[in-house]
Amino acid sequence: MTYWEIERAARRFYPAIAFDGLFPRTSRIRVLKLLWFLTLLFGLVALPSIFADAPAWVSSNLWSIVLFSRGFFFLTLPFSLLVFAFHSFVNSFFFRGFEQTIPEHFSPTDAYISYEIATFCFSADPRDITDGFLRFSFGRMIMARAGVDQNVLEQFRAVRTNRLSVEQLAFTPSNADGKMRLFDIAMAVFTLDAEFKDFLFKQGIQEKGFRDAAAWVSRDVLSYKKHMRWWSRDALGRIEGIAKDWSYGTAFRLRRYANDLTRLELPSLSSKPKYVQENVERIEAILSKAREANVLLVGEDGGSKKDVLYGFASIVKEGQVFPQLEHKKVYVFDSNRIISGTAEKTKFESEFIQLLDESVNAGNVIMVFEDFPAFLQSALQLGSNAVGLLSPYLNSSAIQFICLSSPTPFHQLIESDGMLTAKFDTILLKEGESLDVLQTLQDEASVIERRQGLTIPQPTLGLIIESADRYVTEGIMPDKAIDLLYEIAGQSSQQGKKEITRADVLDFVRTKTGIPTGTVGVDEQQKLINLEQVLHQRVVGQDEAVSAIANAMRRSRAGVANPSRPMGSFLFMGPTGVGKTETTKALASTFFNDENKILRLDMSEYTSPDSLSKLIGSFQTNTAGVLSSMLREHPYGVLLLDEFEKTTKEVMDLFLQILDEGMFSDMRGKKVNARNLIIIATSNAGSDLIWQYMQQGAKLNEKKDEIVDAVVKQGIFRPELLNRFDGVILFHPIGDAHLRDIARMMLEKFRSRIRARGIDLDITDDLITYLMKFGNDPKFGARPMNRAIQDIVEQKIADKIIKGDIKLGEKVQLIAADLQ
Amino acid sequence: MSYFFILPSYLLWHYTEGLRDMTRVWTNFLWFLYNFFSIPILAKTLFEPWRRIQEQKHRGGFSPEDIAETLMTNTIMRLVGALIRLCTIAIGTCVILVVFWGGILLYGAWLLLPALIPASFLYGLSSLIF
Repeated sequence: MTYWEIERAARRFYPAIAFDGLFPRTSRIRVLKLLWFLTLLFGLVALPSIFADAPAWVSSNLWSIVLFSRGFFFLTLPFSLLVFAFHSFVNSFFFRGFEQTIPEHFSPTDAYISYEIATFCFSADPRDITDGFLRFSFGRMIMARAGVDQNVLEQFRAVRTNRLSVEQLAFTPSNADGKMRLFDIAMAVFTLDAEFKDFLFKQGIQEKGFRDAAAWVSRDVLSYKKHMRWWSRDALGRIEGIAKDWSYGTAFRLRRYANDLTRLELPSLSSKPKYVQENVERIEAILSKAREANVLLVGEDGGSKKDVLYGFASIVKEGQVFPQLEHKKVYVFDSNRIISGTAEKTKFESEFIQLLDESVNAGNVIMVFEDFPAFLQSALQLGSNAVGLLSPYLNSSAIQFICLSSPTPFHQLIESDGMLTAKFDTILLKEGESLDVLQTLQDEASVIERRQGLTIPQPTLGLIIESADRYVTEGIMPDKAIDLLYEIAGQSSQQGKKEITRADVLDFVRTKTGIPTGTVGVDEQQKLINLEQVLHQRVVGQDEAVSAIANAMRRSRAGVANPSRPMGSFLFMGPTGVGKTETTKALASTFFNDENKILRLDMSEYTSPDSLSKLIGSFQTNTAGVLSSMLREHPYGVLLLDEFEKTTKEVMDLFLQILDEGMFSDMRGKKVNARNLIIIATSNAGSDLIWQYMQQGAKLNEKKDEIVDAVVKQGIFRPELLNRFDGVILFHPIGDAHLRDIARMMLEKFRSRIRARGIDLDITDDLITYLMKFGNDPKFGARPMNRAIQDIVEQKIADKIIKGDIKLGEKVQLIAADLQ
Repeated sequence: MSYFFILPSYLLWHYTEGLRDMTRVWTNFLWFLYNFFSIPILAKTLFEPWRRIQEQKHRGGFSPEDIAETLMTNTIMRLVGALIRLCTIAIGTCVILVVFWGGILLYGAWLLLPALIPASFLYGLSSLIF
């Protein structure tokens, strides 16, 4: 569609747009209200003037007021009518191009462009469409939504060189109905003006962000119009009619086993998110059909399933439904009560059929099974085929069914039953689809903006979705994104902010989860740049390991790492006691500021055939898994898998998936998130070879491939598993110089412990040299040194304390003679 | 676009699309009232028992008393139902008629509006002055 075609169609709107410009909508409505009020007031006072003469009870003064009012009534009335007539004139064009659920007669059929499009054509200069868009009120709204600062926008307008003329423009309506919307204009300008696109890119806004912002504004405009058209059939049709329940009976037997939702106090549907409202509308549309009007609502437990059901019940209760559903009752059937109450097949079947017959007789029952597969299973245990019992009733319009199910049992039990799928319309509640989530969040944000006077630009919303998906592990989308949005909005309001920025979101997430996100502060920047040195304060030597970890952590913190995998994953291979665990602790302490953020699993405990069940839980025994429970409770931190080589192949396969996707499913099929973890597996595999090469004086780095190949050949790890780690790090045995440093660090630790008790220790080279005689066994790394310090130094100090040889505040010096 | 076009465009709209819009809103209201008073449902179920309350035959076999009792009760329930429904239909019909004729009147007023406005203004002015 060319610009001129649109412009031709828009010309009919121009007089209304011109009038709207002269006398804007908001002032017009205000003036109209005032004029109608005055007209009514004067009209009421002037009522007695319909008598030709003053009635006897009216004094002459009062009569003159009446006559004056009559004069003013006839003076204000024409102004009211005039403003009303012109307001109707503008409205006639303002509401064109508007889709209707219930079609109205005498609707304009030629309106394929909307009022906003016509307003754009009215004001735009055909030689410079982009500038027209940037001056256009809705264009400015889209730019603000996209997060562009008004001053920056003005600067850009002043320096633009490219002029996009109408000859270059071509529009394609994005909607299936072929009607042009605001969104289509915005996207046409974005696509065709490279300079404008470049400007947005520099502001950090790409096509998706701009598209989302344009769709948001476009939808907000439609939603406002829908709200304003109170005289439409869509609005009037939702007002509850009278007398519809006079022809219905009462389902007494059903009441024994079910709760009538329409009798409860239910929150209004308008308070629910948009996606809930949309699903409620889908239920309404299905149940309004003449036959086979039953719904199967499939969604995750804990998701929006119940919200949708209660939302539907609330509109039925309020009578805000299509006429076919008015005065219906929504009964939630308690299948346990009937199963346990009847306890045997014949009784159950007879009671259930009588109950259904009575409900059909009542004629206004919508029966809800909260867990339909569970009901079918329970009936089956009694030997009864519940589907067969229900089957004759599924065609009836006198009783309708809404059956709820989780996806897994739905696929297993219901989907394969052709009769059920034919008689039910299935609504699959899509959790977490990004477009739905974004639209839902935009609608919620519009509500928050109106209520709390905050501005929430599109990039902020995009980040909230990303953060909720990545960092909030409990719950499902879009619920967790909505919760996060409300929490951040609440905090921002309290702090008196006017706009929620991306930085606010990141700061909030950092405070809530402890994961370093957001802008890197000066302190943190220094820590990240010097991460190797920071780690080396605790880890002696092992330069390759420390540098690999530091690099991975910087990638993760900079936000360039793959968000669909764990934050980092490493396999530490090397002999025992060389600092593998200490490196892990140092990492937790540096990155999460808490050494206790380590989740440790000793994989030598998972060597039996049931190890996988121990970790992820077992469906048969209904026990929860160690790993799944651990990660649900502590979703952020360092997961340390000690002696990883000792576990089974199945467990390694599980970790292969975790390392690849950052997710796994527990025994109930629920996803467990492992994307906010640094996973470190340690192993002694290859230590002999490492040891051998070190003896030969070879450089470990150069021999890394050979060592890894040997480990693969020995069948300890499969190559695909090793490839999933961000890095396989070899730890070399500790040499004498490093061991002396380690001894010093261990003694410093001990020193700080005894200093707390008022005793100091002098750490001398002599002492360390003495300890080297006992604590130096290269095969066991630093462990013998630890033992030597315990057995020799700690023991000696303890003896001295007991004997009273050390006084409070004294500095103890241990010499070789002392220790022998 | 000259602002002088507003008035002639308005007048054209007033007698063409304006009338169509008015008809649309008017039919919307008639449609709403027709459904609000549930006239088709009430007409269809005119002689159905009030709230489906019915007496069942208790004793087995032929029992004239039982039949008479059941017949009497059910007839009364149907009559009560019919009476209430008829009243509602009557009220609903009246309201619809009022809106229908009101709409016709408004049509007339709308057609005459361009003349009524100055007439009302002049009348008001004259009644204040004289």
